[in-house]
Amino acid sequence: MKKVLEIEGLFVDLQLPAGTLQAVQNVSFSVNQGETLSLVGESGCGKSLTALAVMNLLPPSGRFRAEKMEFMGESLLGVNEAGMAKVRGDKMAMIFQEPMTSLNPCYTIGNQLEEAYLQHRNVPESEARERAIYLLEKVGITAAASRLSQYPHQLSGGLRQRVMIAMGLMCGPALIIADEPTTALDVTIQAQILALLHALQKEFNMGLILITHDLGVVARMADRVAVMYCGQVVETGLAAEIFNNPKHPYTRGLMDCIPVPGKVEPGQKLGSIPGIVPTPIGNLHGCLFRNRCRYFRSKCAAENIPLIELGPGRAVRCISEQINS
Amino acid sequence: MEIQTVLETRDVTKTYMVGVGVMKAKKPLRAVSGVSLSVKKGSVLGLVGESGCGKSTMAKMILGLENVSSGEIFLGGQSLSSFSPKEIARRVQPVFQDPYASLNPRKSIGSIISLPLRALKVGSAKDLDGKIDEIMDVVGLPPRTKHNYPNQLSGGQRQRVAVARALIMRPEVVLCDEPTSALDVSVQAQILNLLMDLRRELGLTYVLISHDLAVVEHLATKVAVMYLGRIVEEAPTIDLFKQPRHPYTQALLQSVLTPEPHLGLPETHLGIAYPNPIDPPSGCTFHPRCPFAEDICKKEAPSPTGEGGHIVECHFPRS
Amino acid sequence: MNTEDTTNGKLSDLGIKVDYPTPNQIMFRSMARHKGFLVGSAVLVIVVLMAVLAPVLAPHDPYEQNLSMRMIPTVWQENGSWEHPLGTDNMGRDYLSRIIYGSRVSLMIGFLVMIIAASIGTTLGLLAGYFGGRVDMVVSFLITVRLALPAVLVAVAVVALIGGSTKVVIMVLGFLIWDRFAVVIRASTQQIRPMEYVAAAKAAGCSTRRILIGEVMPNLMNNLIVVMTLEVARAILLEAALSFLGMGVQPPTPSWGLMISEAKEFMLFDPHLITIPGIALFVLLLGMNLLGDGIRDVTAPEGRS
Repeated sequence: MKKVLEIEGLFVDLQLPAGTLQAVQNVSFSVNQGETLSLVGESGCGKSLTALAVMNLLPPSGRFRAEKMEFMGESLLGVNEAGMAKVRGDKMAMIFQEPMTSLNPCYTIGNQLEEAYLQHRNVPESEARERAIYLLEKVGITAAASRLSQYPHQLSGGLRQRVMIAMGLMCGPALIIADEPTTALDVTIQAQILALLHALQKEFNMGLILITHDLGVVARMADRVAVMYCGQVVETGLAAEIFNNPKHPYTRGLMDCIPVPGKVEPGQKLGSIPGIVPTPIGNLHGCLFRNRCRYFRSKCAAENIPLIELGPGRAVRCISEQINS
Repeated sequence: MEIQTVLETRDVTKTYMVGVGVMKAKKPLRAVSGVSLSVKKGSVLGLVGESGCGKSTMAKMILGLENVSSGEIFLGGQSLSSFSPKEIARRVQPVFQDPYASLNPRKSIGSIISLPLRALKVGSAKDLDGKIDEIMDVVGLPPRTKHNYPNQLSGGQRQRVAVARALIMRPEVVLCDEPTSALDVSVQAQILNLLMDLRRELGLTYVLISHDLAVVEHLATKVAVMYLGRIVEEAPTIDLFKQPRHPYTQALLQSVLTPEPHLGLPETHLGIAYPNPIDPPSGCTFHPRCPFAEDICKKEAPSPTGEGGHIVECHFPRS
Repeated sequence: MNTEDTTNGKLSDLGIKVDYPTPNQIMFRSMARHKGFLVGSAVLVIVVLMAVLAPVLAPHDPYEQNLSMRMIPTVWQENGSWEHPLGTDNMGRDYLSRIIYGSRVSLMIGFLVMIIAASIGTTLGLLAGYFGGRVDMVVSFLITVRLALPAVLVAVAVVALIGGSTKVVIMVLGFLIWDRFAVVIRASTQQIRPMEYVAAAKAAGCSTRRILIGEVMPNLMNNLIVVMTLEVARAILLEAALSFLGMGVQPPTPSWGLMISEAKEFMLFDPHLITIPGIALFVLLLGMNLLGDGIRDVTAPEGRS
């Protein structure tokens, strides 16, 4: 399996009025062809900024650096804006959370789809149009030809997100980065969109980075998982490993928090992790989860906790003996 | 002794007139269509549905923020229209979804929490501080946050402020509109557990509006499922989750992605056609998406059937 | 148990910053860094001081004519002296003193006009933005009518009917330039109206008046102050224009616009008589505009924590 994306030692900093936000600290991961990697975590964990750093789309107040950032075997570090513009939308596509704001309300669907193609391919407009129709049908939109002349506001949220997926596929990307692609959609639509994404990934053998806070989505979609907390990767592994045998206290805590319908005792309390999710501004040192962790020892406050390998592709950022047995 | 019905709606309908085009006449949009509910004291009614089902409109009507187009709402036996806005405020208070938008960014936490007291002129100025401190302690906010501003608090803390503001008046009914949807998973449970505890300690009655079935299952004693402005199924919580009878309820439950990796993605057979509330389908409004629809479903709207507190609106309720 | 009592120790033990600045603190810090804001405020402060301390700063009485000392050149020209650093005008009045006292006229008229216009425009904008429907229709119509009329033309017409004076200028301009206030406040109110904290306040039993003053206004202040600053500048310029046309402040009052008008005939041979008040006007207006832009930049995207 070919490696589509390889990241090592990624750091992202954001300048805020309150100080420097160390949004991403020393994050490393890789994605293979045809594989779904999920970056999962809560707000402030840095998952979205990681994706933006890869595409070099950080806000003006953001800076990133990495030891290694290779896409299809070629380094993305030091590539200028023109170079990145060639990659974005072509070999690397991104699907955002809000279909309402991701599509330009002033242009027709057809216009935007064709533009995505014509930006990167020197072909006649008719060919772009044909490809747009082909992909709209692929994402399950009926009467595709007539949809081309519709405007975004004429479509529902679910349809818009399908259009976004079609737009991402226009140039046949090797990697799709989907940032909370179904969070803004209704529950019944969510399952359909995810199934669609999954099928398309398999058909076109693309790599997929699925960024989400929803553990249910992760469980059903992901091949491999990286759990993030406060800017760091705290656990990695196969989806089955993470869900059947979570190691990091944060991952375990998260699993307890998920209420599963149909398996609830009346009056039963939901599991929670005491305390609040921290924002990584300030003088960070030691384990950033230690103030909410039940396995806390004084050594957890010492220098930075390394990612300990438990097996191929399986690692935990925790030095507690109870975890690493 | 019979438990009193604290909140009741009878055949409530809300119709908006919406403009469809620049030159065209306005068309009616039925956000809520003949909804009848009753909530007993100390219970929790869960209103479940997706976008466009009308649950937010119901919330606004119960809070007195919108007028009913037809039908009536009763609070403690008395019609809502007979109350002044201030009297309604004393009895029903909301907890909204967005912890960023539901707090005025230019006001201090103490000022936000005490707003209902000051607006309704309850208690004297010196009682105010004591009451604020008390309710902050009840919801678990550190006392020093009283002088902070919303932007200095986390999402979970902000939602606690919203809960404190709702409860400071000890209302009869607390209306929670997606109270945890915008919060992180690890914090959601804190707020939900808090709401559960407070319900027991203070004898509160909740109307819980949510699209998250799992949340509803934990908190609610009775659940009503809404679709395009109507209640399509209503039952005690355990019954609804064990034996959903309406195809939409079944699809909803199937769509919930539980963290079980071996299950893959569910196939709900719902089709793409999502209804436009301005042009609702004929007969049973769910029929275009229903995998079990038959001819009669296109022509006739079903009436509620069922017994034992479990009511369904379907020509062919499942079992 | 509160949210910060966690299993072991406080959040701050992690080295994480826990205390975030208040919205006002963030604003003041940004102000200190914004060059336009600093320059603009400096200009405004200087001009205000000039106006307030005029009796102390001005070497002569601005009204005192001395026909034997007419048209004396500035100190950097031939035959100039430090007795009259900016020379004298065609009536023998010291130009420096007239410039200094002229700032009083500009500032006073500018601020008074702004206050009148702000009161009218903000009220209209608030009502239109909050109530919508017919109220909005009426106010929007009023705004459209007002925008269709060129301000200077109307002012000239009114003055032609009533006669020009400082009071007339203030009233006419005040009742004319409320349009920007109305438009901006209306748009801002429309953005604030659907916010959940407004609904929460209503549900808490607040009267409409309480909501408008207590919930909506505080969130309008940022935009309001920006518009206020820019409208002061606009008012000053309009007054200068009216005075230049002879429709505003009447001689012998030292208004910069009037001074420019009176110096028209000597433009070719003593251009400094025009350029000096022109520069004064320019600097004040530039400063006010920089200040307004600075306030807008500083207060505009108020980030969340």
